[in-house]
Amino acid sequence: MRARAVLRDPVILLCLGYIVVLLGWSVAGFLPHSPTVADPAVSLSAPGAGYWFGTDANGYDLLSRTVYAAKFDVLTACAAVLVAAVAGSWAGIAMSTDGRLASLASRGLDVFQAVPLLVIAVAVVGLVGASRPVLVLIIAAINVPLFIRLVQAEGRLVRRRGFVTVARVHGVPERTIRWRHILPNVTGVIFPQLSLSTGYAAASVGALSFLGLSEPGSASWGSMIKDGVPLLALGQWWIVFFPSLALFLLVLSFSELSHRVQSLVETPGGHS
Amino acid sequence: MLRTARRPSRAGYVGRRLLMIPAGVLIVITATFFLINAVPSDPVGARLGDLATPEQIEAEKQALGLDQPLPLRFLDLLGGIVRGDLGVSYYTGRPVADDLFGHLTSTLVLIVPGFLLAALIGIGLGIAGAEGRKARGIRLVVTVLQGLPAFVLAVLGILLLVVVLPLLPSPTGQLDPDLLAPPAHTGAALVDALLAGRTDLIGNAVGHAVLPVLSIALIAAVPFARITASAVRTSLAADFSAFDEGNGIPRKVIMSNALRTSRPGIAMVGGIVAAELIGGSMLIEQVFSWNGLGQWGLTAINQKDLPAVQAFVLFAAIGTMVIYLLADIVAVLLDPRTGS
Repeated sequence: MRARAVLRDPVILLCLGYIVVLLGWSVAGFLPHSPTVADPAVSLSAPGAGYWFGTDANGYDLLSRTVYAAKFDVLTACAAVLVAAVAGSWAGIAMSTDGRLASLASRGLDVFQAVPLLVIAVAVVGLVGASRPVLVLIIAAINVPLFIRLVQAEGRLVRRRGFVTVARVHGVPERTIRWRHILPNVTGVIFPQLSLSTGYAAASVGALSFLGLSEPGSASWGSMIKDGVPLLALGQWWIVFFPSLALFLLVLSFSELSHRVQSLVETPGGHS
Repeated sequence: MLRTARRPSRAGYVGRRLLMIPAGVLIVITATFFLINAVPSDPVGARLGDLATPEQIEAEKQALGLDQPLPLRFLDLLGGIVRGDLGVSYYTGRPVADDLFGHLTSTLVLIVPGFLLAALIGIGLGIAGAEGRKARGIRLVVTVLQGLPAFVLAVLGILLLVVVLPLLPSPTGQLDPDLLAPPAHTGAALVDALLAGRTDLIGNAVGHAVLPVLSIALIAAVPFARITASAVRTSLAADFSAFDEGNGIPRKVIMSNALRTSRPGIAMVGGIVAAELIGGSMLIEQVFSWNGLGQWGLTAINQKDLPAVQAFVLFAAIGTMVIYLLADIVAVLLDPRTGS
């Protein structure tokens, strides 16, 4: 990869900077107020000195809480996408053969992709009860078909290349071919997708917690927005505005990062 | 004997696809039933609370039919579906089919105009973004819209059009609460007002629908814009466009030809978008307290009202299947490479 070109691109630096600073701040702490202890005396203050982003109905400082919630939202999304990427790569490589089982699995995946995933995700999380592991698994399930398809398509191309044939002729077992020859050659398509999917997974975490399906007691942007919507009509805009902005910038950063890095990798010399 | 290459027959394809519907519906019913009933949930606990005695829990289980083994309950459901009976809600005590259709019109009032507007905006953005000087700016707009979760866009829309510029009524419900609502026939205030001849309410009902419809339209426009731009760009780069251009055919005609070859792809994407709207309207309905199908389903899920959840998921899954099928058929009919 052209690491230098990647690090010179201002948009990439901006996106990466936003993600790293937000997540780092969230994990490290040093917030202006406590994100978990509310001060009812200052509830519903408009943004101003002392509370830059204002406070919510309970008296939580919105700046602290918005930064703090990044930990839950982004890390849940990252975990879900990692699970999806690992499971999807494994299944995709296995399904890149021409066997009967592979084509049957491929058909099964077609069916899986033709179901209303959001509805099923909401139903399952709602019935089982939202907790972080459930959220991770269900969002991983939503994202896994994409990784399977991507790796399967790329794996089929790699399998046709000479070194795989040579390895097979030399009697290298299928397992070794998958790990040593195919996997390293499909990672190139996985990485840009990781970034893109993480952004959308964060949007899914936001959507589910907006619907009230979030780990009880945890701070997440979706549930902050949910609490703020009824107050919007009263003119108390800041409660929904800052978490919305944080989530929007996060999704945008991950998707721009993915597009920029991909186009830098594909066009030698970088793009304009 | 020499055989000429036969064009694939459209009627045969459509017929084969239609024949697959019954099998598909049966699969969907089976999968939905086992998904909803086999995941660990506690509908009895949700109804009785933590203080119920074991006897009360057992009695409630019997009353709800939850003491029966799963296969028996499944046969019950199949028998019921044949008679048009999807079971009775644990909470409203009404047939869930009635509750479902009682909320359907409200959702259709949002998603049908939302979808049509999305197609219009998306295809327009796609054509404008395919080439030319404005393409960069338009692609930026599409990228930004793509990064916006639907409920975030809706919230920002309220902020702009209700709070900052008070152009629209308060974003809660389908009518202002102080107005006398028309008799509820369909559950959708706009349709009920029309049915009751209450023309005085139409303005207010439309005002309430503007933001949810617009939010759906803008989010759903993104896939339309992307497929249109990429299909038109591919067509413009194809030999037939170069040939037309060499022959001095006007740009407008070349563009309209490029759009014509893009139609099957756009139809497929339209199917995906429409299918997502069935369940996806849930988020928008929640923002605007719209009380449509999605919000009904969400309430059922939170109450662990299994018959209602089952009906909701079934409706979404079968709806998705039918929409994909229609999209496939439309795409084949629009594809100039297949003959009749």
